[in-house]
Amino acid sequence: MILIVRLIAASAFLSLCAPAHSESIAVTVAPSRIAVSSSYNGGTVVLFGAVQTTRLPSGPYGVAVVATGPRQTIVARRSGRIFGVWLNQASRTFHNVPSFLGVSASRPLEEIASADVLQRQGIGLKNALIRAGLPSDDDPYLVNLVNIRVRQGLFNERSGGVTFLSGTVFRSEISLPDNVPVGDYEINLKLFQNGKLVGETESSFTVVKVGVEDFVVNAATNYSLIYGLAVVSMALFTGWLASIAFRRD
Amino acid sequence: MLLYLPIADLPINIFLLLALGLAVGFVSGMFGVGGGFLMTPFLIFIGVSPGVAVATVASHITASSFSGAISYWRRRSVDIELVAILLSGGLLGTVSGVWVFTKLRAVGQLDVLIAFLYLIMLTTVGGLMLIESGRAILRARQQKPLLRRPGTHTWVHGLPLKMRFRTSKIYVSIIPVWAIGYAIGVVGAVMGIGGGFLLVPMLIYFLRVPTATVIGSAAVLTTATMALATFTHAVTNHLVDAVLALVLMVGGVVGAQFGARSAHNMPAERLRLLLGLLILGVGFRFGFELISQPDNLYSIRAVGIDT
Repeated sequence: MILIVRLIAASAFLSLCAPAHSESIAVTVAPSRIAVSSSYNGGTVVLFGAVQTTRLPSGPYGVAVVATGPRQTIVARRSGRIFGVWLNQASRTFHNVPSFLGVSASRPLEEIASADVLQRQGIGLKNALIRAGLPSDDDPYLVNLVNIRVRQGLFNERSGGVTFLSGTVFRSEISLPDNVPVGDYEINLKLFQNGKLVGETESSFTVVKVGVEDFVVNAATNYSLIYGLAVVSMALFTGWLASIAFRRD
Repeated sequence: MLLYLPIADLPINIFLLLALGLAVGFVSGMFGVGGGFLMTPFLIFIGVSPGVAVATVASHITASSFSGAISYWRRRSVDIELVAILLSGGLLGTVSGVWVFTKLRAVGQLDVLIAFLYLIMLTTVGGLMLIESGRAILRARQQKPLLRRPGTHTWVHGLPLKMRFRTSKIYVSIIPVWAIGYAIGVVGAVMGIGGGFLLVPMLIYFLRVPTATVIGSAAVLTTATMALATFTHAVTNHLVDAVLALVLMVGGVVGAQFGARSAHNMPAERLRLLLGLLILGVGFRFGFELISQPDNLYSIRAVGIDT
């Protein structure tokens, strides 16, 4: 009797602990490293995924992909008119703001899952920001921060950004604008079926500056003393060269 | 062809930058000024952040004023004693200017202050130049001889701590010399200008420095203050874009040569009239910027990376 109770309790416990997801997903990201060089003007990361399932499908899959860039502290300022001149007046600081946020899905988000589920899973621009720890109220500073980022192409939400190539194989593109920040990017992929989360996986890629860009940025931030001297020398040398080349006497 | 500027963090057409360098260089060669007061605003207008524009243009002016300084040095039209006193003020002024710049950037009022300073300075200088050159043109037309009063003394000449500057043949107090140097240093570091078009009139009107040594001495001073400004901006704010600087320098020094040549074919007061109009135009553009409502009342700036 005791044994049976124990078994039931154990199985109940196990079922609580066991992953709720029945499907596993294999994904590959290419390229896993985006190089920002002097000719860079935007790039694309392509993600391929395959659902591995043993069950008979009980409905079409829905996929949502959230790509998150390195977190930043952002100061949002509001300007107002003082004596006829527009000045920055009040400001609000936000921490852990993703520098890039790309949300794409195989269908419109509301068709994939209910608003409740989407919020819990951090899918959609607003939900992803809340998940990142930003306030959930409609604070005008935050609303405008998001609007500015959207206009810069750094925040985007595209339903239809994920396409199914077959019943279980899908493809997604994450397009990075030319002003993309460098750093490590996380990709969170969630698989839904009949409005329920049935699988999830993570992946990542890196954006790095290469060549002259990397060299200059690295020198300017980490070796600023030498960098400053080098720029001054370059200026003096250019000036000297010009005075020699165009000497008229 | 797009060139990605690493510190400004944006791609800009390299030919646009070269053309900008050439055009500003042409104007600077034509009028004998550094061209920072045009270069910095134009960079801001094409989308470079004011901070990066100011810091980077400092290096561009270092190059153009150094090439000028060398040729004046060869002609022995540099007053070393005068430059030394100006520099003692100028270098301190530059460091204070960068300090002010850093503080304002931290509180988010840098862009407005830069626009405001440009408005005040450019409309004042442009307006004065316009009036002065207009009068000169009228005088030339009426064939009236210019009244010169050599040896006229102003209140400046009553100040203590007088010193004799042999090359310039003047005997003035070092207080106004030092103060002028300091002012040029501050203004140059905050606004991204060499300040030649402020410095030369000040030296002539306040100190009566003769025309033979004034431009050469100004070029040497500007080279030193702008080199220090570049260095200090690079160390404190990390805003100097070496790639942008190089492209601007190359365009600038070449353009300056053509400008200098074409200036020979034009009467001096008409040249000053044109420069006055140009300065006034850029000044009004800033004024418009300040009073017109921004497209978006909100602005954002990343201040740090979180882990």
